Amino acid sequence: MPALKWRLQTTFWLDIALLVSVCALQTVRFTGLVVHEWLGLAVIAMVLAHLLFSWSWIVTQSLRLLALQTNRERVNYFLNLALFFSVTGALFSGVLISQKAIPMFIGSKVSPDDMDLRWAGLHEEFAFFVLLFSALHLAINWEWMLAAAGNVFRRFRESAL
Amino acid sequence: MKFVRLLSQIVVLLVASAVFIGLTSIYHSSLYSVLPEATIESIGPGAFARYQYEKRHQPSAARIGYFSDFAAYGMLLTIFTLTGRILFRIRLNSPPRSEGKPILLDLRQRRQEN
Repeated sequence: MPALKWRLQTTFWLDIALLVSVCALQTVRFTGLVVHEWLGLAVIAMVLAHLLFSWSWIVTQSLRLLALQTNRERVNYFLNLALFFSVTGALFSGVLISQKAIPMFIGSKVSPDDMDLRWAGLHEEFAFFVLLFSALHLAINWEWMLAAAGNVFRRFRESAL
Repeated sequence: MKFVRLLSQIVVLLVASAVFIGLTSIYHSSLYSVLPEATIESIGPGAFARYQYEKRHQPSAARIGYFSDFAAYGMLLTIFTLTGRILFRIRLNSPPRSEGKPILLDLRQRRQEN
């Protein structure tokens, strides 16, 4: 598979996985704490990969930040920054209040009664903003997502025939 | 060379994350209580204790019965996305090229055709 096609498919499925994960991570009652925490850790890797795939855009837009830009580019840049901030906050606070995954990594036992509820509150707030900014991120990149979906599913149909 | 570039990109992302984490920690240390005093007073100490217990003792195993929660968040994401689409279409689309320019009615050309 040529590198460009591989890249497009990987980015598309990675973004879909991230969207589903963002929704699943909002509800601990559905996933349970164990899946919630491990999925949260997997999201760190997914976000890192997503950012590395978009690296050229990040560099270009950061360098052009002070230059004349269209409203759309400026809004998109600050929206992405807000999303990055929210994701970082949600993941960091999640690591601090972890009861299953992180204690297993560091080999210690954590009592739920020791949990700092201020971090738990912040975790919930950041999680809501992650959902909100992810939706807006999807909205502003809607055309790309549609084009990528068309491309990926056309290839599926072609390979099925 | 490619590996070094990848490593430097990860370092830049980690530094940016560290800055945000620092800011979040400063904000966290400025919080005195889990909930605002007024909220604690309004819900009463019993309800507050229950709130704290529920926060600390979340279920470990997945419960399929709560799939509706997941679906609800999916719907919320969709609503936010659609709102964003409408908002960005209205606000961020550049004005049409014809804006501020006289409209050509091609009257002369039509008269010639007639």
